[in-house]
Amino acid sequence: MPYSAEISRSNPTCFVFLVDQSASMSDSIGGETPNSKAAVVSDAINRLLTELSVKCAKEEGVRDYFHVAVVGYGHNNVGSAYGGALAGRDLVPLSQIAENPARVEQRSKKVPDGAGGLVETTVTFPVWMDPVSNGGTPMRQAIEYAHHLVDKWLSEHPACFPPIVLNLTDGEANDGDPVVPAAAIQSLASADGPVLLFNLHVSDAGGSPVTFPDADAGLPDAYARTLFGMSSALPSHMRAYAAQEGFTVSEGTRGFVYNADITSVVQFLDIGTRASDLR
Amino acid sequence: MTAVTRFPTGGQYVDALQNPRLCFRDPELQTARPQADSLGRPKAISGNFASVFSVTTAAGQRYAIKCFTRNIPDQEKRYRAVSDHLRRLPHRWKIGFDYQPAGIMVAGQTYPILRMEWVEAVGLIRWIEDHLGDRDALFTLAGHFADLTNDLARAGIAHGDLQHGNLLVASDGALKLVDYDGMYVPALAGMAATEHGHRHYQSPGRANAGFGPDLDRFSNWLIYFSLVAISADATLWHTLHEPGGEHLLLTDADFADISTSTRMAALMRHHVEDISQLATQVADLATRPLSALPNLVPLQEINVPAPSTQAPTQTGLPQWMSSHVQKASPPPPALVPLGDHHQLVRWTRITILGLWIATALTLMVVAATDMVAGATTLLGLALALLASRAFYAFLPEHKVRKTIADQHHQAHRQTALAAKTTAILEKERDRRQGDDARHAQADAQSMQALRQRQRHELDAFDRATTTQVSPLNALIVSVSAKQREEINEALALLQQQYVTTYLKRFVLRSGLITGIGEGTVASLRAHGITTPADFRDVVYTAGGYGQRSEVHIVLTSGRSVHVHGVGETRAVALREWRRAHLDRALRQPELPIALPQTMLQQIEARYATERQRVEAQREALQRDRTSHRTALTQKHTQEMKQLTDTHNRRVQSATVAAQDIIRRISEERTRHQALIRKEQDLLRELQAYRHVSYGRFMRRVLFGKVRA
Ligand SMILES: Nc1ncnc2c1ncn2[C@@H]1O[C@H](COP(=O)(O)OP(=O)(O)OP(=O)(O)O)[C@@H](O)[C@H]1O
Repeated sequence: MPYSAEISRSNPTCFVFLVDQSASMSDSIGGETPNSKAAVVSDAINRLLTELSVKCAKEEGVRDYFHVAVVGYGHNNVGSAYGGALAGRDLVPLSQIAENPARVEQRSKKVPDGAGGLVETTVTFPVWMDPVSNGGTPMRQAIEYAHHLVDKWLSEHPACFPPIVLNLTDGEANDGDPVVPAAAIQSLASADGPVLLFNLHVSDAGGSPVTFPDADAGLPDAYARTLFGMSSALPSHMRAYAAQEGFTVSEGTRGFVYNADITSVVQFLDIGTRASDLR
Repeated sequence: MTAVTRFPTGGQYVDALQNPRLCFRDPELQTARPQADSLGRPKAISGNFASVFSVTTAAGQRYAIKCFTRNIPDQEKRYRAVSDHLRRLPHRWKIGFDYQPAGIMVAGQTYPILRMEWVEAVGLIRWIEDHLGDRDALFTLAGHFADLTNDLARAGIAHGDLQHGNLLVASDGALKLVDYDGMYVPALAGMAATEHGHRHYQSPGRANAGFGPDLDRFSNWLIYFSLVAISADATLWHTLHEPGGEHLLLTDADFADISTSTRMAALMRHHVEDISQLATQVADLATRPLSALPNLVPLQEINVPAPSTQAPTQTGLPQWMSSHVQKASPPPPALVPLGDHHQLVRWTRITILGLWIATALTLMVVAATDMVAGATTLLGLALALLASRAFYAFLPEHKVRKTIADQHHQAHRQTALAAKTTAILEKERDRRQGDDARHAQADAQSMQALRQRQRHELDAFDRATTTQVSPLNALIVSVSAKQREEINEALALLQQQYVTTYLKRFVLRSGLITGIGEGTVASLRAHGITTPADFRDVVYTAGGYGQRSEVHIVLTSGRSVHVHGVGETRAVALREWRRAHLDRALRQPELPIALPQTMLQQIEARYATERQRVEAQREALQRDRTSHRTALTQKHTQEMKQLTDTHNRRVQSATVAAQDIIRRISEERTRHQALIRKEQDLLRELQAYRHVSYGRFMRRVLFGKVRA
């Protein structure tokens, strides 16, 4: 059955995050505390890297279940978006990521005090990449870059859990139709199944947030529909986890999220060797 | 489904634990400090269902706090039952815990936690790697594990997820069992299992096993067998355990298809009989349902043939030597004196005297020169000496002494020779041991290299298969999608036809719609609009520069027309009129809601051919790939078998050779020991004759008393 390979140190897989860093990402996205799309996306990446590290942490430290690349695209060029010690690197073993954030911020946060009130506390927030926004949106080129990374990875790890490429963007590609390279990268496969391409669409087009839809009917604009169309269907066990978390799912449910939280993608991964009963 | 189904992520727990006073409900835990990671954040130890944190309270008590990241149905009930059941058991392996249903607050919501005593211990794999080569330690641990499984079986409990991550070993060697999430106790009979356990510890039968006391049966045997095998032959760890792998010696792939498993083959053909037998047994158990598996029966001891690679113990004196040293020397034999031998002494004296006289006479008669005189004297002396030695040789005690002395000399030579032979043999043994160890290591390396090469080859083959099959899968999915689409479109068309027929029944007449009189009806008719079925919508065209915007009616054909006299108000009224009828049409019970069977079958038949074509193509491809794959795995099995056999043969012949040389060394040592003893005995005997000497004899001849 596809998408059942074990993710472990002897069978690691890879994650490629593609981050839109074009000028349009500086636009603010609505909401209570307006934030630029670029900030939303870099927060999402930093949070995803934290979640991955925590999920793979064992008593002796973080295990290299994943190798992760964060690829930025904008300013008409495509390349590593890591800051700090990892700057310039593509696929990095997770243990090194966990040890090397560019910095650790203290963020203050209001949390319920349990007695009906709110108290201000601080929590640490590791940062690997900062928001950037300028130039065009070479999304096509970015997907081709990911294609190259994933292809090389697959020839070295032919039986791994299929690599996951997660594209975070406002969707306004301007170097040609991204659908073609998107289909090409999804035609790559490990023994365990084709590569997964998921999309997180951050947009100021309004409309309500959408998580893992199975049709493009409710999506607000053509960009969203294009991104939905190029997203892979969720593998069955991820679908089952999504259902368990209260999302409605069908066979057509895709790895696409519109203005919503994408960290659940990490939650849905069966790390280690658990043959979960949800398969 | 229970109320809370979405649990916080590990990262959210890490955030929450930065403020224990706020996140914990338990007053003791509110004072706790979590252990920090290298970034100074609470350090998580994560599994697939939870993250565990180590915290120390102000009072110095250390706890493990388990925070759940996935929903476990009926968790509270399960933990309560497990807790009640375990409380009655005295076992050493259990750990104390306290389930707190609302123990932690994350983002304003409470979630359960499990507060456990912190176990100071290392995971099983780490422990094995620290104790590789320590046969006794590993065998003892296997015994502890067997005891643990029997404790569980006797108490009617199954852990549900026995595996290296949940077995911790304390510094005193005690086993600790953690993670009771999936535990079965009798009070939970009838409930469903929460998980199926670690994939590399389950037989294929686990998937269909319910939730009962026999969940661990296969894992029990597997873990026990692995520990015993590693104990008997540490090289198995290097050849079968993948570095960093989440398994011991075997993996799920090995149980899924035992006949093609090179790992299984290596174990079942192992030269240590206890290993090959247990391996065969485990292979057999993997094919049976869990309920049919017996409880674990541990081995009393493990029998490993004299390993040629192990150096003999070299402490203290060798056995042969110590026995020699300890033995007290027997009392020395009585001294043998030089006999009187009057006769012989007398004859000797006479002979010597005769010679003197003869010499003197010769000198007088010849009156020779000085030189000749000297020579003659010397000759006389020499003759006297020879004669006396000849007489001495007649002494019987001298004859005995000489025999003993000869024997002693020979014994001495033999002893030295035996010592030299032993040394040579020992050197040979050491050389062989070195060679054997090097060969064993080289074999282990080549087996590992072969396994890796084979794995890569097979993985690459499977990858190619998936790459070829996936587009066909996608094609089948898209054919189905297209079929669904066409069915939907056909239905929509049918519905539209019905709606059109329905709408055609309502002919526009003057006065039917407020504001639309005879004239407008006529102009509308001129454009072919007489019923709500004749138009679709009303639109306003944007007026260009300097133009007014105009109202257009969109006809069913899609063409839009401007109808004289129909402005905004009338247009809206027309649209409303149409909508009201349309709504009614859609509510009619006659509105088709499904395609007629024949139409449906027609469409399905058309796509079925397409789908069958692709499916047949996929099937042919898969058949072809499967047969190639079988050939590949057969080749692999063959290669591995060859290597294993060569290795086994080498180990066997090395063992035989080692045993042979060890036997020869011990024989040689026994011989050496006997020779030394003989030499010493002879020496002692010889010493009894220390008074039997030529010197003493001559002293007696020259100066001894002359008796009659
Ligand atoms: N009481 C404890 N003391 C020390 N370490 C513990 C304790 N409980 C758990 N751990 C550690 O935390 C790890 C994860 O815990 P646990 O197995 O309970 O979580 P899980 O999510 O159910 O994991 P799994 O995926 O293995 O089922 C364990 O492998 C062990 O190393």
